[in-house]
Amino acid sequence: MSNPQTMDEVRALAEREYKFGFVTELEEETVPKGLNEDVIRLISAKKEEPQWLLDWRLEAFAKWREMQGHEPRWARITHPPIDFQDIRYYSAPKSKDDRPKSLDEVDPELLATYEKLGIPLREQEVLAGVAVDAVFDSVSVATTYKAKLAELGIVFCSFSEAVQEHPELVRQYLGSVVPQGDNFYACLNSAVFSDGSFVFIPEGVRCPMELSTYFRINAAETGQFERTLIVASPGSYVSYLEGCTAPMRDENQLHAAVVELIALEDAEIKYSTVQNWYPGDAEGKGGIYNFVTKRGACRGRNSKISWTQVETGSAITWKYPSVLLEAEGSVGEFYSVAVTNNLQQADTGTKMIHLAPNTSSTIISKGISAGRSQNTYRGLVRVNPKAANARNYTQCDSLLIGDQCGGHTVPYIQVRNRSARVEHEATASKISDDQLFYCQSRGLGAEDAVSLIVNGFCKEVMQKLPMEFAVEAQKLLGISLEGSVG
Amino acid sequence: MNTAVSETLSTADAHLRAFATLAPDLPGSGVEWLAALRRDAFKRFEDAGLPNRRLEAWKFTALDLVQNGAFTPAAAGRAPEAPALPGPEDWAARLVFVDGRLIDGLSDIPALGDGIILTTLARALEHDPGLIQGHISTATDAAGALWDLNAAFMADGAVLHLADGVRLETPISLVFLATGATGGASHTRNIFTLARGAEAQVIETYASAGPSAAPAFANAVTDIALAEGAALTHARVQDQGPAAVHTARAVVDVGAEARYASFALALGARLSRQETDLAFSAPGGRARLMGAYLGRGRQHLDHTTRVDHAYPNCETEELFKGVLDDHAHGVFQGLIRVAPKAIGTDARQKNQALLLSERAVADTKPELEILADDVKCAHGASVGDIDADALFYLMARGLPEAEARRLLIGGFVGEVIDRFDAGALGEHLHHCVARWQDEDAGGDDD
Amino acid sequence: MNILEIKNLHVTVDGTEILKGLDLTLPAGEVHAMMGPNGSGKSTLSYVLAGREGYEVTEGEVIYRGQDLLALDPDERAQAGVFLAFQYPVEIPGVANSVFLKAAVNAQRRARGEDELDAMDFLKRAKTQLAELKMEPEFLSRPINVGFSGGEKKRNEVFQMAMLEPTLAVLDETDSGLDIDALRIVAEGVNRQRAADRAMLVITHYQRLLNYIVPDRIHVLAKGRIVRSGGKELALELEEKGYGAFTDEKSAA
Repeated sequence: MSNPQTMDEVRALAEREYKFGFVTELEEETVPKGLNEDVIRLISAKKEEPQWLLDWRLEAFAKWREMQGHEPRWARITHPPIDFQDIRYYSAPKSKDDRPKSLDEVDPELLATYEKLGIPLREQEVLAGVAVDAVFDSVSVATTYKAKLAELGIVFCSFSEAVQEHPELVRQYLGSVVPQGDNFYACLNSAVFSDGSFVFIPEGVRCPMELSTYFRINAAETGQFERTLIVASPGSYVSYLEGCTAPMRDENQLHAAVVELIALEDAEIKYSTVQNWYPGDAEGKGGIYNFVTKRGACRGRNSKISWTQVETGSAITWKYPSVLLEAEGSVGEFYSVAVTNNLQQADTGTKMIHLAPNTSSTIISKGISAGRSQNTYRGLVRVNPKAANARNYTQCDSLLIGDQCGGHTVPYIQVRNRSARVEHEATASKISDDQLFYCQSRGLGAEDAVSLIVNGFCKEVMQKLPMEFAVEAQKLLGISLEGSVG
Repeated sequence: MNTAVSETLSTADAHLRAFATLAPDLPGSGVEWLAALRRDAFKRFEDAGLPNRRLEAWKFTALDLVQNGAFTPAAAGRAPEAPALPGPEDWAARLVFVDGRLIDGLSDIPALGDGIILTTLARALEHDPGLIQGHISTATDAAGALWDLNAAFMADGAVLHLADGVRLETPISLVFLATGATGGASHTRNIFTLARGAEAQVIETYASAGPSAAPAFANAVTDIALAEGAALTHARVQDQGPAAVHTARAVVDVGAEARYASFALALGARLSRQETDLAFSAPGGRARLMGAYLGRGRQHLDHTTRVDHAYPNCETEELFKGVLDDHAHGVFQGLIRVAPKAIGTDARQKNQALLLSERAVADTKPELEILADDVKCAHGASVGDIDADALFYLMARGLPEAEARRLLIGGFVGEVIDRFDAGALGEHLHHCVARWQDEDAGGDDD
Repeated sequence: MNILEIKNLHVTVDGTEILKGLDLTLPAGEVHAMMGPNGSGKSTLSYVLAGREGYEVTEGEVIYRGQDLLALDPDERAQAGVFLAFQYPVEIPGVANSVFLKAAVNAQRRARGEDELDAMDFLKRAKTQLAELKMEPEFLSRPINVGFSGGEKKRNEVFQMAMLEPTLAVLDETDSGLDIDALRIVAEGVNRQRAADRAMLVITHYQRLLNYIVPDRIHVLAKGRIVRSGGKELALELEEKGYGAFTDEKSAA
């Protein structure tokens, strides 16, 4: 952590403030602003979707219309009302018609963009062990390393492609974990989702590399509504990484994604996110509203779903990656670091729903608030009557930097089985002057010291990230807290 | 929201009628500030209606029993003949209220010496309303509708005032009996004000008299103001009959360097909710909130606490333990708020629940809301069965399982009482818990 | 007369066989030591004798004073005079030592058809025993093992043994975590309990304890079986050669 190379990089990055705030000059194909059935039909038609999927979207849209005025209000976040008719629901790089057959055909500007983002898109970088599905605004532009995965029977493609190539799988699992009407934003996503990733791991296959998706919102006044679906067949394993960035824009942009994971018997899914959407400027102008529904179902015995997230971006984060422990012996995990600075707001946590015997879950949450930000952990642990011998351990810690921020903990514990054992611990503290002084007396600058201490505070979670992400995530922590100590 | 109001309409109507009829006869009706306070409180209650589960603060507790029972304020209670009076053996004074009104014949109110005023709300309102003016709290939001209902209808209660530096060594025992005979609700209001450096111990015991199956609704509020350096030890024992509904709230203002120690014990009633609303109004205060809930049958026992740290260097320690058997449902909600500027806050909160049966349910929500950075805050919660290692250890020494369990449960609850550290009052609480354990004949399980 | 006879005992924990045909006879009046490396099954044996859940006897029998010990619940075994000094005594907040021990003493007396001790008698006996173990009387009012040092916990076990006067005492690594002074006090406490109508099984990893509690016989447990038995001199041989020699010897045989 005190690796000087990393520290130098942190400083360099810090000087640029929001590093990823560049706009790509591309010709975009968009639909007019606003949402109605025609827009949904248009999206569906552009994607050449089958009738059943269009029907599914329209059904969701009907439900969503009934939900008007029922946006979730329980979270500790505030924002002006969102005008859903002032959002563009579809935007794609225009060169779609002559879609690239290989990387050589990909728009060079796009590739340059990815390079700036540090995405290892090219084959030689892919050989480092990362296969990337990159979603630019709403459309998946290239998926690398597909052939190699195909040999193992692994499907890793854009959601649109999956609809064409594997309609039976999509139809079977779509909405089976997050139903259309689950909540306001998931419902909106179900109606207008544009693209995303699809992963299918066949029985007994251990995916030999990390699968990765980078999401980027590029076009102005555009919402991003991607949808990810991962199915792990019995005895399989997959580790999936997700990264997000967006350009600096003065207006707020909505990101309402849905992620559904299904783990069958003895399967394991590890889902890691480094979320660095544009957080808005120091005065709270602009930034992404990140209203995301992520949920996994442990549907087979002894299956396991593990969420790891490092949340540093977005003006507002509203997400609760959850696990439904439906089968005996299944395991759910949630490891989270959420950093808020300036006027950012985060209300994030998890739900662990124990529905079957001998299920266990672990929650480790680290919230760091600085500036005038508000950072809330909100979590539910529920043990249903049938979940004999369920186990949960929860640890959530808040670290406050400065006296104008807030760190909050709202755990709900509901136990309906006597043989359950549920334990929750939480602390809130600040970086002590002693710690800072000690680091400084060894030659570290104040911000480096904070970065060092914060990284230590988050260590349990950072260790859960795959190597490729851990370095990036560590840098992000430092950058996000720039200017938080005087 | 609208549907909620219509659901409670019948209850609200009944209360409206009661308010129109009863208001002129309530004590202090001639005192203008009080009449205004009652009117405003009733208006807010009418607007809000009874709390429902859509309110976050009432997520785990439904007041259906109150709605369906349509309790309205009881007429003046008639004292049963020589009822058994619960509470501790030793007391400096004992006030006995039946259905919300003092019964002189059952009470013992000796002169307690200079600087100590012990009287009733009804008498204070008639003879010296100034004594309590400014000390009657009312609700701050819709979740506190029962609090306002109490303000609108309060008829009696205990009033205790200690002057500067006065110490009362022996507890004041307040006994509230509900007969259910008038089918009504009692809205008791107690007011304790301790001036600088004063110290006292008070125990409130809520129980039933007469046929235990008769439904009764006790809705009590105790307002407490502790001036600089004052100290109050305050126990509340809720041991009402199996058909009763009990809602109670302690509203505590802790002044500079003042100390408040409380124990809320829930043993009885079909539905019980004991709330504590505590605010530090100056630096350096200390609060210890302890409690236990022992439920069986179909009891629903709720402890809800809210502690506001608005000033620097205050300390809160909270520990609540639940033992839930049969179909009992236990709820603990604890919110600790630390305002900006409340630096040096040290707040700890812990909730532990034991589930003794397959059908018992525990809900827990320990909440921290922190807006200052130089603080130490922690909370913990655990739910589960009796520790198997401990049970084996005791059985390996020859204790039969039932006896080992009894000992472990007694010890589990006893630990909180010991932490309350209140001498004879603590002994009395141990006694109450032991009696609850003795009652475990399984007769209550329906 | 034999206090304890174990024949061909096989025990499985979580599907893994830990004891694989253990035989042991413990006559009245004798102290036997059970030694063995970590993982040899020493603690499993002690828990099986005390009746802890999760230890499945798949074969063999345990006869205690002529009756089937395995048929009894843990409390019934204790009432019949079986005592286990735990390797890791359990902490129980809120329950005072005195309350617990008085309940235990009287549960056992009741089971034997004796009158219960009243508080005065109990306290008198407890204080006498505490003094022998150089423990303060305040100890009685403290919650069971909560906040005790390792040494205090072990002394508490020996104190309980003295109060309960068992016929068969199993001491599971009672020496672990003790400094030399505490070890001596604990050993003296144990030695005072030696009697013609009692038997003791002292389970230990180290020879050290046996300098203070001199056994009549020593058994070496390895991989779930007794691989060697002998007199007290066996301890010295073990000290010299280590367990490896004995386990190898067995596998070579």
